[in-house]
Amino acid sequence: MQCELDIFFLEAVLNGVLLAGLLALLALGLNLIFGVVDVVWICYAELVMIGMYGINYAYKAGAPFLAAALFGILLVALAGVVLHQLVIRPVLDSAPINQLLVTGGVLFVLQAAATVVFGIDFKTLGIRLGSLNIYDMSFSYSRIITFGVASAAMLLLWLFLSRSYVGIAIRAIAQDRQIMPLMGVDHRRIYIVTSAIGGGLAGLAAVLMVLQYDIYPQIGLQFGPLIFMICVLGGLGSMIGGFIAAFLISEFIAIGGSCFATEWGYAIAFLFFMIVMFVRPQGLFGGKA
Amino acid sequence: MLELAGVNAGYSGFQALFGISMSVKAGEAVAVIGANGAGKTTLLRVISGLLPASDGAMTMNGVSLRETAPHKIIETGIAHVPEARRLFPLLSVENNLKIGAYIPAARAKFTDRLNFVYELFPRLKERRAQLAGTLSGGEQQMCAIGRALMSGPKLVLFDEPSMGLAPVIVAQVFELVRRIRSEGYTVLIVEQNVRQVLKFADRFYLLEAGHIKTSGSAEQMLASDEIRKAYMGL
Repeated sequence: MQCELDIFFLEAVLNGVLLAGLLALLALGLNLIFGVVDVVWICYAELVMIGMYGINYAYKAGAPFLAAALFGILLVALAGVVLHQLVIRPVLDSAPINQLLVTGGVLFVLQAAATVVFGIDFKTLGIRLGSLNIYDMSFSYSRIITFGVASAAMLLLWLFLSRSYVGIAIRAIAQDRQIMPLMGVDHRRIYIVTSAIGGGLAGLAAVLMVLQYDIYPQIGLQFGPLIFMICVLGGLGSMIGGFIAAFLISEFIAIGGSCFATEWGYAIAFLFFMIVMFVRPQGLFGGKA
Repeated sequence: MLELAGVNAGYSGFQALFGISMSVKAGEAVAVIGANGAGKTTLLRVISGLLPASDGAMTMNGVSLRETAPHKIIETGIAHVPEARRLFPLLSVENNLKIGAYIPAARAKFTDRLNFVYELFPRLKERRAQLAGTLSGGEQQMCAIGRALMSGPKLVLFDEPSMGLAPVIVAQVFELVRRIRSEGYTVLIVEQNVRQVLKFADRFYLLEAGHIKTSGSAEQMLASDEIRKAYMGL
């Protein structure tokens, strides 16, 4: 229970970086949707949960892992589009609080439905990848893969957003919604594409998470609040802010957890979050208050 | 090219345009002048579909604009340089131009048109990688015009291009509009700066409180005492 700059501290720092990859991926998805559609998907972590179950059943039905993974990504991408069309679209012009409540409602519906359909027992794919040991440090391969895949996905998304017509339109719409028709851009189509990408990112997160975590209906509560905190800390809608905030928070959790206890890691992270909210309510990289 | 007949439009509980009938022929430069709040911006917003007309007919080369979805109007050959430029400040100059070529027909000609815009405005080429929000007012206007040209329009709508710019820059901006015109584009401009517009427009419509009060050639407008007094201070 003491903190020294020894090899275990380094291990904690590196594990923090590995955790940050996954959190940054999820924060990116949420920020992307918020920036474009201007609605926060409170139920984002529950979409990940649906994806995890989808992968679980596809894998156990005999599909190879990569096929099950692809199925999971497509499933959640589709879920994102359905969520947008059925739930978000009717409240696009409503007050923000109504939008939050509606997506919050979806959160509980998905959790309850998952409990009824899948049961409350913990499910696991049973894939064990082992750990990489360097000196006295240990890093699970599942975390290393998660970090690598999440980083690659973020890089691809960045290329898409900076090079393709649709990607540039996605960034443009987040900056000036009203004039998009003058560019010949149908915002409804961009909303659907963005919802599919946001869903797909949640699906990819599900793929990575089934390698590390057991699946149960309430798993979203484990990391959902954390992702929101990261997005708000970075500045809601700021993709770079969310990316940096993911690393900050992950390090608080990892180092705090290593020096004290895991629970303390979360407590310190949230404390830091609250202090930033007092000092900079718009978030570290948020443009408007 | 562009025909309006009896067009009414407004915002909730407030009518801004009353029975507007006007036309723009291919190759012309037409100006709509009028005081603040006369409905000039509204008129352009109605033509480009940002605001639906409540009554009347609008056609672009025979295509009914009222039956065309707002984001499809650009495909009829109308490009709109909006009031206050409205660039995407966090996109680079080049990406602002690229989004101007979003429609399928324009994407195929992206490289040619980009080179054309860069020839027209070499300053934009120098600043292609810079964020549009960091450009000076005059450069932003070049970028906004360039963005409109990227769709390959036949008719370019200008909404008060001189607004919010320093007097020295204003003259340059009107020079830009003149050059667009001389490149063969048809121009419909709304402007309060009547003096500058008089220098290049072929025909005028005077808009007052949502009605077209009078119309005519530059000479006819100059001959009108009313206009000279009200809009030029002569």
